[in-house]
Amino acid sequence: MLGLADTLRARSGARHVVSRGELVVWVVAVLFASRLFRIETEPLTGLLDGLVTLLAQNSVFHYIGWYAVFSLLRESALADRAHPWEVACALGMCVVNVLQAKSTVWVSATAVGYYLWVMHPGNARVRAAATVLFALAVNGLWAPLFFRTFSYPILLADAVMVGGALSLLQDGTSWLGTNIIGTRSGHRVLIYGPCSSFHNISLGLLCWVSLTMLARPRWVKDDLPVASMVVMTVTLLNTGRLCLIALGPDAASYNYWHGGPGEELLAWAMTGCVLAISLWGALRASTAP
Amino acid sequence: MTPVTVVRAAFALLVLATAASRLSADPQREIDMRAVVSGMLAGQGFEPRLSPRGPGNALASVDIDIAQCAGTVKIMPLELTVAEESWLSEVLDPKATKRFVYLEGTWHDVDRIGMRFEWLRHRIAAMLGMGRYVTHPWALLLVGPPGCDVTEIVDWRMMWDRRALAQHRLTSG
Repeated sequence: MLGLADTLRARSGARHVVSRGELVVWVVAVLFASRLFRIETEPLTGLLDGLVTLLAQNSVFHYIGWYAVFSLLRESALADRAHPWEVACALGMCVVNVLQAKSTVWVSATAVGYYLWVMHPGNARVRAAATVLFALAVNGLWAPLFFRTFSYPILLADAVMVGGALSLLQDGTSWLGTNIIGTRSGHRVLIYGPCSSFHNISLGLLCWVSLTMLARPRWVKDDLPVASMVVMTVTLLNTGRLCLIALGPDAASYNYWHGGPGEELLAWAMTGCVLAISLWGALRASTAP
Repeated sequence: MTPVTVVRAAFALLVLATAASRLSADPQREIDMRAVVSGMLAGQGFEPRLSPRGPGNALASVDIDIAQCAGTVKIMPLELTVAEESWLSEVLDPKATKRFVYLEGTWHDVDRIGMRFEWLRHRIAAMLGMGRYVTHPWALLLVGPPGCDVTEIVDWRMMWDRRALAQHRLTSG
């Protein structure tokens, strides 16, 4: 015999509501759409050009991250039915994301990650999806916020690395604050926020988290050295780029490494290195006995 | 229609609405603080001049001649990080009057924490719908002849004031 609560639930149709897995996939789809379709710099012109512009706005590591979240949620077999309050919260979060842009998407990603982490302690794939959502939110919002707050000491650390490397290569190089003096051509190098290795570190770690969680939804102790390798590689490449800017003899050389083909070349090298290290680390540990 | 179909249709519509809302939004524009300063000063009867740009636009300024200061006042937009601090101490005349201005605050020296708190205070107000200012992370460094009270030349808060910017048809991001 059905109880009163069961009868009410059956009559209201609540038992037919979508599964938790599907619910989260819909919310993540709204968050992904919010990021993919935002227009950052210029209005879109044609269909093809517009599509290319939209796709190029995000780093390839972001696409890997979103793919990892969708893939892990699909494999997680979250078949239990969502409660009406969960459906209501999900709808509310999606509506907020339709109306608000910018950081709302990352706050929502953090909230969804937290929900998945707390509500499904026994499901490794769900927790892996939550981890990748956290990594996306860290790269998109929390790391930039941290950088804004502590940007000057972080830039000082960048200046110490660049100044130190340059002083090994040529005499007379010194640095004061973020200002590197005594370059070969007589100009000086000033390190601004966008030049910092910090941004690439958070992006590199996003790639590492995504690929590791895709390969196996659990952490092993060998993952930490791989993360350190990612951090060191991106820091070395960025420091190398700043050194090349400082070593350049003229404005043409500066422009080549700063916003020109040289910077693009190093960005591709960084992408390749981070992908290779992350894949190696993820696959090595997952095939280990 | 079953409840499942209704819920799925609602979410599908929300995905489409998100895409449409992002595609129809205005692209974010880079802040050109020098253009904002020039426009605001010109609107108040000054004759601002843009100083030559250096590489990366470092230490570029908007200059105005002020009769009561008997000389030129340089207005330099700086990010709140003030990465140029050590350079500024080298290139600026130590006798010159210097003031850092950001939103409602003014400082004699670089005060990153003070400026960041000023940003936070007004950012929170903006999030609560009570914000008067556009809280982009650009402060101004005013450099004038010795003895010149550079903070009194104009109401510098107007450089971030939402209404004033709209009135002068200026955008700051």
